[in-house]
Amino acid sequence: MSSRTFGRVVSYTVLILIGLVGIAPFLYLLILSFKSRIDVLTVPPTLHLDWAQIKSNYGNVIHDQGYLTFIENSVIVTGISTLIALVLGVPAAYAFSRLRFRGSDAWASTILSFRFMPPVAVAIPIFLMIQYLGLTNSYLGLILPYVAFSLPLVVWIMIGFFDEIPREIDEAAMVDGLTRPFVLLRVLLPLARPGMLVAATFGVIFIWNEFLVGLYIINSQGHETIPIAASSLLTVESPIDWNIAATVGILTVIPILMFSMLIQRYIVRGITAGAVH
Amino acid sequence: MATVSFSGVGKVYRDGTRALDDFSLDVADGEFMVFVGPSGCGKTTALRMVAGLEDITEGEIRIGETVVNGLHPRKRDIAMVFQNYALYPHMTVYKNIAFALKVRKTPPEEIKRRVEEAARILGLTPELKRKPAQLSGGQRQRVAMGRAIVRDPQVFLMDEPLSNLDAKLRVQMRAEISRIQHELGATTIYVTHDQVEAMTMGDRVAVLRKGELQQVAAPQQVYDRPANLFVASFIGSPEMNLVVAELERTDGGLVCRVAEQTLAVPDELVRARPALERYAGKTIGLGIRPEQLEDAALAGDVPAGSRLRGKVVTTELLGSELLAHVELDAAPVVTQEVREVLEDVDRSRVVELESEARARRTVVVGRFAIGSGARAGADVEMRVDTRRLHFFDLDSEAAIESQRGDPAPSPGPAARLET
Repeated sequence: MSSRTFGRVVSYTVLILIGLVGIAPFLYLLILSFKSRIDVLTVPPTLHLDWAQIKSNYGNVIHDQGYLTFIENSVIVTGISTLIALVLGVPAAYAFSRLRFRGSDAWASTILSFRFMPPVAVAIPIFLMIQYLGLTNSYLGLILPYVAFSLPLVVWIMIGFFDEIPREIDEAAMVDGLTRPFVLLRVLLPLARPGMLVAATFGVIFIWNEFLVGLYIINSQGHETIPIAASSLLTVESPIDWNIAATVGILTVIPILMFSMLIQRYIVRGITAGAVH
Repeated sequence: MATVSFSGVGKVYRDGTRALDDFSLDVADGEFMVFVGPSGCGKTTALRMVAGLEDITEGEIRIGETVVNGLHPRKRDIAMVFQNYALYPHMTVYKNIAFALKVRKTPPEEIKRRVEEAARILGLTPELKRKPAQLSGGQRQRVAMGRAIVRDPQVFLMDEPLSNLDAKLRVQMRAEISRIQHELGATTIYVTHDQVEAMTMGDRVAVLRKGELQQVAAPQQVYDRPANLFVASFIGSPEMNLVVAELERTDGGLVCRVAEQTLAVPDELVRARPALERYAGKTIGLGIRPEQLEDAALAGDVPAGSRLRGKVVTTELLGSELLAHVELDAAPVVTQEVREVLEDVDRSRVVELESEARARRTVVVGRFAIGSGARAGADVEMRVDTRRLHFFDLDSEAAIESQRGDPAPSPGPAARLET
């Protein structure tokens, strides 16, 4: 065996192991969601698929526990927050990339550091502010902090993308008769579309999973997002239904998985595009 | 179409770098003006200031009668061809060319007619539905041209539009741009660092150095009567040979001593450059273009005052002619301006030149006719076309010229002695 083949065998083994570690919990979750309460506790674990049981688990979560509403809430909050973050963040990033203004360089590098702040550090003040505004238990109460959380990331990712588009394209468009805002709108946005999808993906994943701040702000059934709703499954009063918890987990993941797969090719392209810069 | 005039234009960047200094120049209506100079000389800055892509720090730029200093690019009625073409990658060739018209809300039939006309002129008709990524470099260049000509603007601005093309295509596009410019009669400012482009394309050439205008004249004039050592060594390929020489007055008139050898300066040359008289007895820079040197063996009867002898270092046979590199035992001219031109070409040339200066020897290049027996290692005698010698003041670096009688625009120590 040549050293090159050997190297390949080693690297593939390692990669497969990493892959397994990554996917195993998810597979385990999937299998759990197919089982009955009792089967979950069987030692050693068994794998038996029973269509009726699967239907009962998912039916229970979706209909009896009202998860369709929670999914809907999550989609609304995530969608609107991400959209607002893009609408605000893309022009900001364009300005950072193209215009020189007082402190432009300093701000461009500082802006990402806002993202490093863990939500737990600001959860209480944010809750107080939202409460003061009377926005607890409303979509807007979630959307405002979520926009604030995802905006720095959107700006930072988009700066990278705009920096890669030659300035001469802006200049050509200005000579062709456009003002700056229209250069962005008519010429650069189509070119920056992959970047916007990347930024949107990061924003969506973060907001979809966000729990802590949401938990403070929402305490009624009507506006809970999935992570908040899921937390109420495991309480002291109710017996622990592992199979139901697993089903909720799967239902939480599916929409985001579909979204990611849809724009996956752009994500890969986008990440390398940012890296080069 | 319109004139473009710069008056006292200066540009200082925010970090304090000065890119352009007191630049004054008038581009006539329909003229093809070339800005040429080494990198960093300010030529592109000047162009971008006309386009409105760069703020004007000092002075005034007019297009036609309008002062355009504060005007947005879109209101200047100019079209620009960028070095990297700057095509819109997501649009087809048709849409790229049509874009400016669409922005200006031209009626659709009119857009179609003009785009098709431009495509026809540029031979782009078959490519109209393709995207820039599917085109060759030459085709992209044409699209960039198309985007400019479809507008029918007052002024065309071109920023090194050919520098990304390979040599053969460049020659072809050079001719094509000249043809289109003449067909349209469009006022054009063309920026290049390539002196061949400057010579072949321009009605007039403006040579810039470190943000300062050195000379503006027709290409032949710039070649024949360079204003200073910078222009002399920048324009021409192979470049002008520059050696240190002494001017002396003898019974037969002025002569030029190149180490042990003597060249007679023809009287008509002295009459055309009266200032020369004042340099008798002084050290000057002597410029000889390669085509002014010929193998004396091929030149028939050569008078004594127009011969130079030296040792052949190498020869380059070009098919149509023979370039002979001949070593003379005189020092080369090494001044700041000469150094700058060489540095722009290749840093190692400066080192080479300095070692030549220390050894007090100069390798000059002569364009010999085919049939010359010059061979490396052998001595050769050259006939010098003394009617076209160039003389430079070594202090001010300016050409010793002047119908006006003043020796140099900025008098150096030698000139001050005279006045």
